[in-house]
Amino acid sequence: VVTGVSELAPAIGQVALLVALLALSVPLLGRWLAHLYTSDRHLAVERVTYRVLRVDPDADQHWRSYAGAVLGFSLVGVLGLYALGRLQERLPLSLGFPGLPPDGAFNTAVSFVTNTNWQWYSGEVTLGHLMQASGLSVQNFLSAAVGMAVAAAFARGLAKRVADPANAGRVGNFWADLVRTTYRVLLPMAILVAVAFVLMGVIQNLSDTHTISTLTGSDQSITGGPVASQEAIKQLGTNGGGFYNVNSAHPFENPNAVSNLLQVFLMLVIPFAMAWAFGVIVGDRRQGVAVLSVMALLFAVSVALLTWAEMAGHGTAPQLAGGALEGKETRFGTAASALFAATTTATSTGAVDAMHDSLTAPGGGIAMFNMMLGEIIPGGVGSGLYGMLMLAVVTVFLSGLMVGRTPEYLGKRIGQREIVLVAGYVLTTPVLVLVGGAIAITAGDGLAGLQENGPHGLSEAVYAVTSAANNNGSAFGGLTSGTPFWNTLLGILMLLGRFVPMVLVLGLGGRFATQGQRPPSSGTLPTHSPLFVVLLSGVALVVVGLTFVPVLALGPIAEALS
Amino acid sequence: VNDVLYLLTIVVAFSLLALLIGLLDRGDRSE
Repeated sequence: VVTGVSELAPAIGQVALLVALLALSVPLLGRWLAHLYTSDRHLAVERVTYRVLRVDPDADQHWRSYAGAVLGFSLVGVLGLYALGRLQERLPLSLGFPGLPPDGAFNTAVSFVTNTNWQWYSGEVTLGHLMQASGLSVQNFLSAAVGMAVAAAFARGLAKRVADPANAGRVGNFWADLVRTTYRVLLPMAILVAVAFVLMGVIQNLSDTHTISTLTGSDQSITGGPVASQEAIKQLGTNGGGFYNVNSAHPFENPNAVSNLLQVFLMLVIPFAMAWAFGVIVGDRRQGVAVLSVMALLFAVSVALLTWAEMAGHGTAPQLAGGALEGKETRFGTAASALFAATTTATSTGAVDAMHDSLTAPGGGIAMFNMMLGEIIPGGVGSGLYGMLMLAVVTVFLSGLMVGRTPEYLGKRIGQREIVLVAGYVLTTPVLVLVGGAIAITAGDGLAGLQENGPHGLSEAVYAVTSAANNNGSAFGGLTSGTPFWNTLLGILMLLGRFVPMVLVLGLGGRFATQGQRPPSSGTLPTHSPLFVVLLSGVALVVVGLTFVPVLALGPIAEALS
Repeated sequence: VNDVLYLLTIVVAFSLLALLIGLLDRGDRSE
């Protein structure tokens, strides 16, 4: 008999193994990332790429040019992916699937360029191999690299020690950041991981759909494809878009407990390493460790709570089964599914190995809360770091107001303009979530997509808009989102939720790059101390709490209490 | 018609983002 208690030892064991793997790899990868983002050397293959792109990788770009390059590059990506989706049936390797409808092509193009990977469709019955491998997988690399590039630019702005009016506002070169991240980090790591996945049983081929007769006499279609290669970057780049509809619950994507734990590790390793790299870039590793500590502390609490919610399994059926097993793969069990669910929502990945709509009410609420934090514990690749640093600026500013400290972070003054940019950043996503949610639950077309009534129905809608605006991509699967209304609404939320914060981050990075670093004084709040870790954690929780508690009370909390 | 609407949505969204860059930059320079 499998009981919740019997899973406790493996649950603790997998977390211990995960912590050990991260402790070994994060400092190494962090140092490598810091080197990449501060070096002025180019590889031969990178020089060829720059020549093809006709860009100068040595130009130190003003933040305005950097942001313009981010937007221009992403616009081309959206338009290219839109065309690929619409023209699918006329292109090779389409497997006979028709082109996507306009709203579906819009949603998918925006979704993959914004690193969200929200999927309104079932991949195996909608997309051919060309779209999957040349469209979606390519954007998995590029969207991840864009996020990391923006974080690197912000860190370099903070790291500038001496004010140089002739080079005011310059934060580095977008093209160099993009190409280096892709060639020297994401591609080599993804190739290694894809080979490891193949060895574990993940499929990798260009096979067509096979129709087989099952033991019960019915027909079943099984689609092959380049799954391992997509799976590797899906997790490594905190993308999350699965080859199959059930994502990492499919045995071709995630065959066993070892591949499952590897996927959890892959989601976490770059976001945590970016925090380490930040410390190296600003010349004080303790700053990176402090940021990483906040991420790790809040993530650990999230994992513990979500695991408890799923293993305790309140209700008659879950207690008889030894845990809330509905919607979970018995190959993984309750604890591993809970760890995966916490990780995928805390990292902005959005991949799933269990159906989040079937999580217990508190478990689903915690998954939602992870996203509402703004994807910062540790968040997406790059976006997690800059999101946490924006809250660090808020913390410094609040501390200055409360205890009379100088409002400065790493020697950079936090004045009126800086705090306006930070306030804009902090407010953007909540506004998108709450306004988007309000539209969804008042429009007839929005309500038509909900599977449930009452608190759980509200949770389905709120989860969707939260996931889209925070660029996560996971869903409460009961929602029927493949309609023009939902595809359009979520597409707009994904677009604004990704690029408005990025522009504000780069604007602030440019302002920091303009300033010289002030030496610390007796009025400076140390930002590497345990006290700052506690303060920053508190600010993250309070900001989210004040914004989202009402909607959480009407959704998952009401459901849990009913 | 739908293609035109969605492509227009994309272009308008990116144009507004470019406008945001311009506004922030103008604010910086006016100091």
